[in-house]
Amino acid sequence: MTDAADFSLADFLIGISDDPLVPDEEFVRWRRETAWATSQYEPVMADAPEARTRILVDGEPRQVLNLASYNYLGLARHPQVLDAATAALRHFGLGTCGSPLLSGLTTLHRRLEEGVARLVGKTDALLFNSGFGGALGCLGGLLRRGDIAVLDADAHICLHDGARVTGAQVRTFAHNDPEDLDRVLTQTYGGRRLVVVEGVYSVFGDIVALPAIAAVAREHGVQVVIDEAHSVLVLGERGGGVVDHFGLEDEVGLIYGTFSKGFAALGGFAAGPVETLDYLRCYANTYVFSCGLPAPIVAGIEAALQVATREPQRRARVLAEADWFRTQLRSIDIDTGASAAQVIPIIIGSDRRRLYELGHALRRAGLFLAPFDYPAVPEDRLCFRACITASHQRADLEEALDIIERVVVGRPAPVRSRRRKAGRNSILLFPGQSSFDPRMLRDARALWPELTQEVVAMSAAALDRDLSEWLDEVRPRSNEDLQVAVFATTHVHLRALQRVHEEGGRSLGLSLGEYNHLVHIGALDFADGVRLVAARGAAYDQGPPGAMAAVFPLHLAELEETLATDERTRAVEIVNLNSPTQNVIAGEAGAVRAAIALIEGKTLARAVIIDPRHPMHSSRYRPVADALRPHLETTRWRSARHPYLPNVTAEPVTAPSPDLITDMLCRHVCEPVRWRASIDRALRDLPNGGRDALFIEVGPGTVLTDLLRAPWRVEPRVSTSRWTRTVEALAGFRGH
Amino acid sequence: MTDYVPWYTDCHFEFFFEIPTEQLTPLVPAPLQVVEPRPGVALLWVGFLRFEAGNIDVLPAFHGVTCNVIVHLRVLDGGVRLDLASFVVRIASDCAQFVDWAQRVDRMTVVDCPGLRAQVDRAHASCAVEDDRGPIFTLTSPASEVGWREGLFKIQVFSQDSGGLWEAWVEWFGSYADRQRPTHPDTRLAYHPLFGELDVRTARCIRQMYTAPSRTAVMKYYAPRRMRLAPSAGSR
Repeated sequence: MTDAADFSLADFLIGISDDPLVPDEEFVRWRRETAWATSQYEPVMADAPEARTRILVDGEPRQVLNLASYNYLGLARHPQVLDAATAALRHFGLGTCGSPLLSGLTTLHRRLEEGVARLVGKTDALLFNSGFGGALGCLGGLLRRGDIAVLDADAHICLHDGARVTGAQVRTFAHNDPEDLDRVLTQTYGGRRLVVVEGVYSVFGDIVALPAIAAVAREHGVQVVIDEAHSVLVLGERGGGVVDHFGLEDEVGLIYGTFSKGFAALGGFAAGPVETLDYLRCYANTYVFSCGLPAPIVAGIEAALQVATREPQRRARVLAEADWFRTQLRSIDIDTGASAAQVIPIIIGSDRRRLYELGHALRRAGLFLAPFDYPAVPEDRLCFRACITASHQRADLEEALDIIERVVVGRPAPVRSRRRKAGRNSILLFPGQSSFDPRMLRDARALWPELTQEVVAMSAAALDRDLSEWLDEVRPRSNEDLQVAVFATTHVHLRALQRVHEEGGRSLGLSLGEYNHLVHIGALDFADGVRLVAARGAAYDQGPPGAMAAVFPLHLAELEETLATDERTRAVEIVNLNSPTQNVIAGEAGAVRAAIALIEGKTLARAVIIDPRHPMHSSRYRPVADALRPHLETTRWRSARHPYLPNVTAEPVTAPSPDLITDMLCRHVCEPVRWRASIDRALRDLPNGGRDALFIEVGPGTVLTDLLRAPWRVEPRVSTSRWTRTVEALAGFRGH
Repeated sequence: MTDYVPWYTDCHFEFFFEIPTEQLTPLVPAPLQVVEPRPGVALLWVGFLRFEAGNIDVLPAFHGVTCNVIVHLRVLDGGVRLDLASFVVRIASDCAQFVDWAQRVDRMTVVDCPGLRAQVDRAHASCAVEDDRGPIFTLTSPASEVGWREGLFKIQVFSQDSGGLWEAWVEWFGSYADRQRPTHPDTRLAYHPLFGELDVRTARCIRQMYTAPSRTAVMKYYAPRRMRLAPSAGSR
């Protein structure tokens, strides 16, 4: 036996060894000889299951584009999920230390049961600590010897095993075929029967033909159990799964689901009538005889449920992107079967050796896909499975398509990759109001006359005031003027950049620049942005007085230590953490002046007043945040095309909700701006950890690129205010 | 065990087909259990053998076809390692003496196939078998490159007749190719009494084994023994 392609796991079901603890020697040899292929199983991840992650390849962490994880709504590391899990961990501890029946439930479990039941439209639910185990427990608890379980032929093995473990007869009907179900139910007349299907089939991604299947079952007087493992939170108006999608809650007797996919956690649930669930609480052995889900997991799941309910755009986005990706795959002659959801097979056929060779080639090219071999799938439908998630950006999927087309289809590097290349590895940085320059619009007009006039006209229209004089010089009469002018000028630079740089890649903005960032990612219309920025500036103008000073070069710990040494400066806050050695302090003006004297007296650092009037981002500005909130709440927020990277958390958010954006923008008025952490975080999601990245400061001045100094950051950087250099750098970056 | 009869053959095809478990389970008597490589799918094992005169005892040249179901092994006393177990559903032959032998000595169910004949194309590892009622099957290897290897298989063969359930042991040694490849378009099972009521139209072939041309394989076919069933827990 020398060729992995000639055998599969199915072959070693047939032979047995002398001793159950000693595998068949043929199996051992086969495993050894096929290690080159099977090493693709049990891949070891070095980072979280995000759109981009690292896996160990030949023992070394390697950056990959991840289409192998179930993190469908991108909730695995959502701040609210992490906060909830962390709080529960501290309060309840790591494990429940008992079976749910005896001591393994908490108040969190009960709340989640209610939440899940509501989600799927049932009256009661119970929780399992394992997705597979839950299905095993449900069917094992409900069925008895002599019963007949009628399963879809492609139903997951946990459902087959659950039925078999009871000694019930297991019959299958042709996959998703109501006529064949009718045939089987007609043949199996008499006795207790149960029809078992999946919502979205786990490898081929097709959706159960539930209306027809439920109708056939109803005609035969048989109830339906559905496994919504891959569909809950993703399909349906409220995220309740396929049953919700079709509005057939009354046609399905029991809904089973898992928390390991859309919820990005672990475990499972069953939901149905109170009496059925009560019966399962007594007879589902995997519930009765194993510990309850750990409380941190339960809390995380509940938070995920809240986010998914509050942000339906996440599931809309997943399905829309999956639809786009599937269409693109089909256009390059990839067989995606009957997939209709976020699970998309890339069917290779029957050539097993090719499957594994392609698997290695795809990973070497930076694409992480899971291989599926016989007997997990039919022998002539060996495939890779792509899981599309809300965390995937269009650029990610385009990159995946490029790799698939090159590696699987065997065509040379396609257009979409070249078009996106510059955008993919660049990070746009939008500056705050410290980049103000009275002549910034005049300079912009010199470079891009029509564009500048257009943006100024749009700003004037949005505010219903004449701004034409700004084209010569901006003489701000208020912070409102200053903010609007910087915001508008930055937008001119962005539009100019987009003319030569297409889409642009990821972005983030410092303080005011966060509003330009929101415009760039599509969450905010420019005109709405102008009005919002004006409201922000007006609120600043009404805010309590104070001052801000930049301190450099001084490490944060040293700065904190210095400020703590004097009674007068303890109230001064560090409000901008801009780089390892540059931070900004703010507070009452006298205290800030005292701090400057203290710092310059005790250290070799300099401290310079950068705003004598506004103690921005300090807790003194809480009333400003309150004044701004109504404006934020009434703004028309749109679906973001790229992740939103708020200043205050430095954690990217995919598909941010209006509530979340409002909250983040309110907080950043009176909480520190974590610019350094934001930069580091943005790089982490890029290929090769951002080592190939190009920083582009988009707007007037070079404040932000000046912060990016070695040894902190050594990546190339340009500023659009040095336009000729920017164009040259972009050309070089693309390899033109 | 020394009471075996050697069977020599220079042409032997064995192909495995996926059939829904619900179709094969009724063919297999308890306590035997079908093997399911995939949930709801079991394996039908269809074979063709050609024997020259004298290859089995004093029998003349003849063809044999087999229709078995792959079942779970039952470990023999003494811990002998086995490779495969099957239950013989039916066999057929164009040799009356072999039919008598198979029924009387090997305790197999034999189906009458008048005019059984075969066309064998060793170059393409293909055989087409039919009788006077029409085609029975065509087995064609989908593998274009063949690597031959020598091998010994120990196979447990279960059969049933009016005398009960029987268990035999076969040792097969020869030069063969063993492939797990999808169905070749020219591999077809036909509606034929050999397959009884089985719906074989969509049967998918997932494994092919066949002997090397110009090489003779030998099977030691040990005399069947009535199967001893383990006492149930309640009988103690």
